[in-house]
Amino acid sequence: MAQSERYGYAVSRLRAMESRFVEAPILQRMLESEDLSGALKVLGETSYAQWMADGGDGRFDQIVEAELRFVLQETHRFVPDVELVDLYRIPYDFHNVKVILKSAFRKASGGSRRWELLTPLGTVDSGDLITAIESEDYRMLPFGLGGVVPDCLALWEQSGDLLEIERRIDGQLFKTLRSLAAKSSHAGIVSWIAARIDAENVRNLGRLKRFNSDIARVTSFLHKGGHIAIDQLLSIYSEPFEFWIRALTFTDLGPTLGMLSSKDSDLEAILVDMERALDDYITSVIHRYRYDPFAPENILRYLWMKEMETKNVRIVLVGKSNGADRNLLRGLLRHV
Amino acid sequence: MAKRLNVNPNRMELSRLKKRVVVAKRGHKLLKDKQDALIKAFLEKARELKELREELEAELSLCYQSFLLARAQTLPVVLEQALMISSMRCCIDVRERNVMSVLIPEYNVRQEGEGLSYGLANTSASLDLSLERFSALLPRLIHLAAEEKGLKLMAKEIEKTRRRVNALEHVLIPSFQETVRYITMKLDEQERAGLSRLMRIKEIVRSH
Repeated sequence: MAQSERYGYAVSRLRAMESRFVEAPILQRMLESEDLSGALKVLGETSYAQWMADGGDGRFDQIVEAELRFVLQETHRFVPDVELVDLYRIPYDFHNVKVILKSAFRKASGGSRRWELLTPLGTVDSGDLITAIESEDYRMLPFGLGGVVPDCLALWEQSGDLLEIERRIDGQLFKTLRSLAAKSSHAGIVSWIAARIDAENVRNLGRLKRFNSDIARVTSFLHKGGHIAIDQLLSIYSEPFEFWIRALTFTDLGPTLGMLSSKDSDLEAILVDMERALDDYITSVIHRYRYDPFAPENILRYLWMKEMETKNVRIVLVGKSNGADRNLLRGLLRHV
Repeated sequence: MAKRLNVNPNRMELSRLKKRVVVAKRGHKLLKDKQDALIKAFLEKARELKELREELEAELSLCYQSFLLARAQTLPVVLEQALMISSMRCCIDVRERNVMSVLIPEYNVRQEGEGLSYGLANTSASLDLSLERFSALLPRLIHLAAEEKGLKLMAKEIEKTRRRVNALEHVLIPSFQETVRYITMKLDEQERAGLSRLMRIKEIVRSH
C-alpha cells in the first residue's frame, strides 16, 4: 500500500470517532446544570457513560482518565505508525519518571513512596521504570533518560535543587519529542511539535517574568526547536507584555497573543487567558490537516483534541463540584 | 442564707475573720475590675478578629479559586506529582505575651527557600498564582490563629475570674459576714450571761 494511502483507514475511523466528541452544546448543558450530579447525568449521554457504571459522583477524575486510556489503546490498535500515538503518550512517561525520582527523594528523607501517582497512560510500563531506577540500571530507561536520571540523582544529593531537576527532565522531554517528530518525517508533525515548543516557551517566559527571574535562568527554561528563535524571546523578556505582542506579531503566535492584549493589562490575568489561547493555537496548527483524508497528522490532531476535550470535561466537573462561577469556567474551556 | 464557718466563737477568731472580710472585699473589687477590663479587651479584640477573619476568608477563597483553576486544568496525578516535594521551609518562632495575666502566643513565621519547585511543562500558571497567594497568606493565617488562641485564653480567664468574683461575692464574703455576725452574737450573749451572772452573785452577796 502506498505511504499516502496507509492512513486512509485510520483517518476515516478517527473521523467516525470524532463524532463522539463532547462538543460545545453538551458542555454548555453541563455548565448549566445545578450541581455535579446534574453535570454527570449529562455526561452520561456521551461516550463517557461506559466508565460511569460504578462509583459515586466523586470519581469523575477516574472516569476522565479511563476514557483517555481507552482512546489511546484504541488508536494504538489501528494506527499504522504507533510512534505517532507514542509521541502523544511520552509526556506521561516523563511524569512517571518524575514520580519515581521524587519518591526516591522522599524515601531518603524518611517519607513514603507515592506509586499511586504513576499513570498507565505512558508508553513504558511503570514497573519497568521503577525497576530500572531502583536497581540503578539506567541503560534500561528510554528516551535518553538513562543519562538524565543519574545526573538528577547526583544533583539532588549535591544541592537538592528540585527546580533544576525538573528543568532537565522537561528539557529532555522536548528534545525527545523533537527527535521523534523529525524521525517521522511528516512536515505537519514537525511543525506541530515546533508550535508546542513555541507555546511552551512563551508560557514559561510569562511565568518566569512574574517571578522576576534573571535572564540566565530564563534562558535555561526555553526549549530549542520552536519556530521562534530563543534569542528573539530573550530580547523581549525585560519588556512589558504589550511589547511582546508587537514583537511577536509577525510570528504564527501573533494573532493568538493579539487577542489577549485588548482584554486585560494585569499579567496574572493574562497568564491564565494565555494558557487557554496557547492551547487553542496548538489546536489550530494541527487543524490545517483536518480535510486531508490521508494525513498522518490527523492522528495527533485527534489525540490532541481528545486531550482538550478531557480537559474541558474536567474543568466543568471540578468547577461544578466546587460551586465555581459558570462564566469563570466558560472562560477556561478550550476550543474543540 | 450563706453557710456559717465552723469556727470557735472567740474574739481572736472574730478579729481574724474581720481581717479576712476586708481582704476578701478588696480582692473582690480587684477581681471585678480585672473582669471588667478583660471583658472590654475581649470585646475589642473579638471585633478586630472578626474583621481580620472575614478579610482572610475572602483572600483564602481567592487562593482556592486559583487552585481550583490549576486543579481543573491538570490531571490530578500530575498536579500531585508537582507538589510532592516542596523546596520551601516554613520556620516558626514562638513567644508569649502577657496580657492581664493571660499568656497569648505570638508566632513569627519565616519562609525560606525557592518558591518554584515543580516543572513548568505540565503545570499551569494558575498553580503559580495560587501557591504564591497561599504562601503570602500563610503568615497572616498563623497570626490569626495565634490571636484567636489568645482570644480563647482570654475567654477562659474571664470565665475563671467571673467564678472567683461570684465565689467571693456570693459564698465567701457572706459566709465570713455570717460567721462574724454569729461570733458577735455569741460574744454578746456571753457578755450578757457574764453580766447577769455577776449581778446575781452581787445580789446573793448583798442578801447575806
